[in-house]
Formats: sequence, C-alpha cells, structure tokens
Amino acid sequence: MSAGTIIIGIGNRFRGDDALGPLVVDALKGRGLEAVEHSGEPAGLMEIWAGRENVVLVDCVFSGAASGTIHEFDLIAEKLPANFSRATSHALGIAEAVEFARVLGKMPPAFRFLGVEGEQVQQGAPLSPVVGDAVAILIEQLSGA
Amino acid sequence: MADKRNTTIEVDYLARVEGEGNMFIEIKDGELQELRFGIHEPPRFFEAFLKDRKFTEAPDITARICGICPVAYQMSSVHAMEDALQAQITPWIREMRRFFYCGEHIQSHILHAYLLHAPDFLGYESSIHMAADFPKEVEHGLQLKKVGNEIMEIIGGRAVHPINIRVGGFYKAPTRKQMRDIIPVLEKAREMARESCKWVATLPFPDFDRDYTYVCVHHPDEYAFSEGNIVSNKGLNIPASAFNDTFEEIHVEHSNALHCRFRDGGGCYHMGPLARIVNNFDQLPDDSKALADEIGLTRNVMNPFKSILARALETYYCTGEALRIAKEYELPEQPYIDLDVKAGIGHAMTEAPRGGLYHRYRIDDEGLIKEAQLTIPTSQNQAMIEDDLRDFVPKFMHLSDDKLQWHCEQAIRNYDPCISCATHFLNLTVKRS
Repeated sequence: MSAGTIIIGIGNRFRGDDALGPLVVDALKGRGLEAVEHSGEPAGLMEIWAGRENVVLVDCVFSGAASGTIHEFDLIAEKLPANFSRATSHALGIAEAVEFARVLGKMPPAFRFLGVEGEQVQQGAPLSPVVGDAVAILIEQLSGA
Repeated sequence: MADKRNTTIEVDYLARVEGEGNMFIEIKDGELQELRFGIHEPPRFFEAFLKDRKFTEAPDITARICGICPVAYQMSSVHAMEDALQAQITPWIREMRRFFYCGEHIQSHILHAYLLHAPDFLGYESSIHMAADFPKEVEHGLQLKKVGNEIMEIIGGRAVHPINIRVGGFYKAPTRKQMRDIIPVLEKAREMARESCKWVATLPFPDFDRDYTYVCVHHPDEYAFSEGNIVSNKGLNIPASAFNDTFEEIHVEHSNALHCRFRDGGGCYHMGPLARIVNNFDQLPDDSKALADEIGLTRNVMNPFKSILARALETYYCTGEALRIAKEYELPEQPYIDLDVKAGIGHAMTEAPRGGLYHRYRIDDEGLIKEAQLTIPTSQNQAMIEDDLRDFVPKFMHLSDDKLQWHCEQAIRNYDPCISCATHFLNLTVKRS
C-alpha cells in the first residue's frame, strides 16, 4: 500500500465474526502495514484519517447477503447502505461517521469500505469458517494493493 | 385550521429515541379524546436472570440492560450491594465513581442534545442534515462525546459496557499518566461545553410551563450522582430504602413498561436533568451557576423543552468536575475494599443521565441474589411524558397534524427516553375523527 495509507479495522474481537476487523489489523501489522483497531466512534475515526491520503475501513456487516460475501464500496462516490450500519438510535455507526465526515468536509481523498458478511456474533466464539476464508482473501488483497 | 377538527395522529415507531415506542392521539370535534404513549419493546426479565447469581455479578449483568447508561446500572448495583453488606468505600473509590459518572453524563447528554434533540428545535430530519448548516456545533458535539468515551475508557476499561467495576470499587486503578494526559483534553472540552451551552440557549423553546414534582438524589455538599437522599422540590426527603414505601409501579394496558407514581395519590413525577438542576442548584459550583444564569436556566425552570439546556449545563459541570478529579489524582494503595459476605437487603438510587435508577437486592449469607428490583428512569418518567402530552396537545391544537406530531415527538424526546431500558417505547398515532 502507498504511503499515507491506513487500514482501520472496526469490531469487537470477543464476539464471533465481529472480530474480523481487528484480526485483519493484526495480520496487516504483522506484514509491516499501518493498521489500527477502532471501536467506530465518529470523532475518533475522523482524527485517525485526518491528513491521510488513502483510508480503508474494514468491518463485519449483516446485510442479508450470504455469509462470507465481501462487500466493497468507494465511499467518495457512494454512501454505505443504511442496512450496513449497526447504529441504534442511541449509538452512532460507521455509516453515520462517514456521512458526518462528508458533510463536515473531513473525507480523505481515497476512501474505501471493505465489509465481510458475518454469520454470528456469539460471545467468545471464533470466526465462522466461511468468514475466515473471506478474511484470508481480504488480507491478501490489502497486503498486495 | 378548523376549531372542530377531527384527526388521528399515529406513530408506530418513534425515531431518535432508544428502543421501540409508539404514540396515539385522537382528536374529535376539536377536543382531545385519547392519548397513549406506549412502550412495545418486549420485557427483558433481568430481575429474574439475577436470581441465584452471585452478588458480585450484578454490576456486569445489569450493565447489559443499556449500552448508553451502563455506568448508572453499575453504580446503582454496587451501591445497593454495599448497602446490603454494610460496607464503607474509601474516599478514592468515591471520587473515581464521580469521575466515571462524569464520563457517562457527558457522552449520553451530548449524544441526545446534539444528535437527537437539537434537530427537533431547528426543523432538521437528523443531525447529519443539521451538520451542513451548523458544522462547528456538530463538530463540538462529536468531540465532546469522544471526551466522555475517553473518561469511561480510562476508569471503566472500555467506553461501552465497562469491565473495570466491582462491588467494593474497581479492579484496576488508572495510571497517573492516563489521568495527567486527560487534563488538557478536559480543559479544551470545558471551553467547547461552555460554547455549547450558549448555542443551545439560542434554540426556540415552545411556551409551555408546567407545575412539576421534580424527584432526584440530593447531597448537601456536592452535585449528586450517587449518594444522598431522594428529594423533591415539594418537600420529599427520604432514604433510598424508603423508595417502595413512597412510590409504586403499576401496569397499564398499552405499555410493557410499568408506570410509576406516588403511593399517597400525589400522581406522577419528573426525573432527569431538570429535576437535578432545580433540586441541586445550590450544589453547583459558582461558574456553573453563573453560566446557568447567562443561558436563562433558572432554579425554578418548569419548561420541559428546556431539558436540553439542563443537559448542556450538566455537560459543562461534568467537564469541570472530571478536570478537578484528574488534577487531584493520586494512586490508591488498593482500588477496592475487601468485603465480608453476609445476608442483607440493600437499596440505592443513583442519577443516570435521564433520571434516577433504583436498585434493591436481597442476598443470602452465601452472597447469592434472592430478590432483585430494578426501577428504571424512563419507566418512572413514562406517566409524566403522557401527562405532558395531555396538556400540550389541547394548547397546540391550532397546529397542522404534521407540526403537532413533530412537537409531540419533540416533547417525548425532552425526557431522552431510553425505552429498551424501561422495556420497555414509539409508534405515534394522531386520530382526528
């Protein structure tokens, strides 16, 4: 990946497939890439990507697609679909964070979202095998990009 | 708009509130016929889950009731358990619990005031729409929320569902560096919170005053979060142990959350930031009192729409209180006290951002929970929300259905209801027939 690139993995590493964002971060750091784990809190996210040329968000999503499906969005060109946001009315999700950044003029020049469709978010469970396969593909893709 | 209007306003799922609730308003020949604020979120049975669990598990189990106010659940449960065990916490633990509560009040109040409630006053569908016209204000909101989360991470281990809280104290003390590093962050937050108060004071407030009985925890020497008697602006002054002798919970058909009222026929009551400002104004530090004066928040405020002012002022107060605690921070010898397990009954009410949260437990001599009672702020405010709407609708009957519905939803959000806690909120139906 080019200088000025950062990969941000969102999720909870103790909740089944929701751990995939942090696990991608672990793998990419091991390969010398700049990657950071984050809870998805909007102001904190905007601080991380301030001044960056290229930002990639990685998260587990539940959109109704088959488990293990990789979703890719160019956030400069399009919004995340509403059903990708896990926000409740009292918490803000990634989709809101991105839209706040868009309105506030805080978007990085290149900005992608890579989501993997999850199967389960059981406390303490490992990644589902089909999600693990998709995560391996994602890691290779991000390492070579 | 004709005086003899017939209409029904029905909202099946209220937006920008936590959990699922509904509203039904029927107007016939220009008169309010029926009004219901219902909570259809299913019951969650936490009191039953707690039975036969160890007393040490209560803070972590009850925190799961809410992702927004887990601190309140943890604080009410630890205080109630310590009451049952007749345990005395150290001044260090007491101080750090205040620090913890500052974090929760900042993040919860800011989220509600900026992102859920302010768009009501300014006519925006959401805070993202509002951000295009009020970028500085929304950015301050997002920054302040982050500061609240940072406080919770320092003392709670993480921002949501903190894991560092135990009956008798904390598992681990924050480092000196953590507390030192938050000082400049809080100094900046304090200025943003002051500007927020001034901005919120410019919002248009409907002319709507009521005669409330405000109930909250009161402490003579400090702005109360978790220690003190339960008081009202009309003379109530009881220990938490007298809660069930003073208040009762009743079931109403249209809601899965119990309504609360005074047992003596005193009707419903109002909890939350307005109650705390009115009952505890004298305990605010001078700079907070001066700012309250400057933004028009008086010690006898009775307009529920001004709850947003109270939230902004409490946010300012909490940045100052957290700053004080951070500056005075010393490492403890041990961040918890040792406990002697024995049978007992314990009570506590602490101040969640949206109002008093009462817990009562009976534990046996092995420390197993035999009975648990959790009486939630939104459940306690529910009857008052309906009462506000019954008063509001006839006075604002001249508004179009759309505007009436808008203001009624805004009136519900005055209470920052946390419906899934209350199980526990909103569909709106306005019917003019």
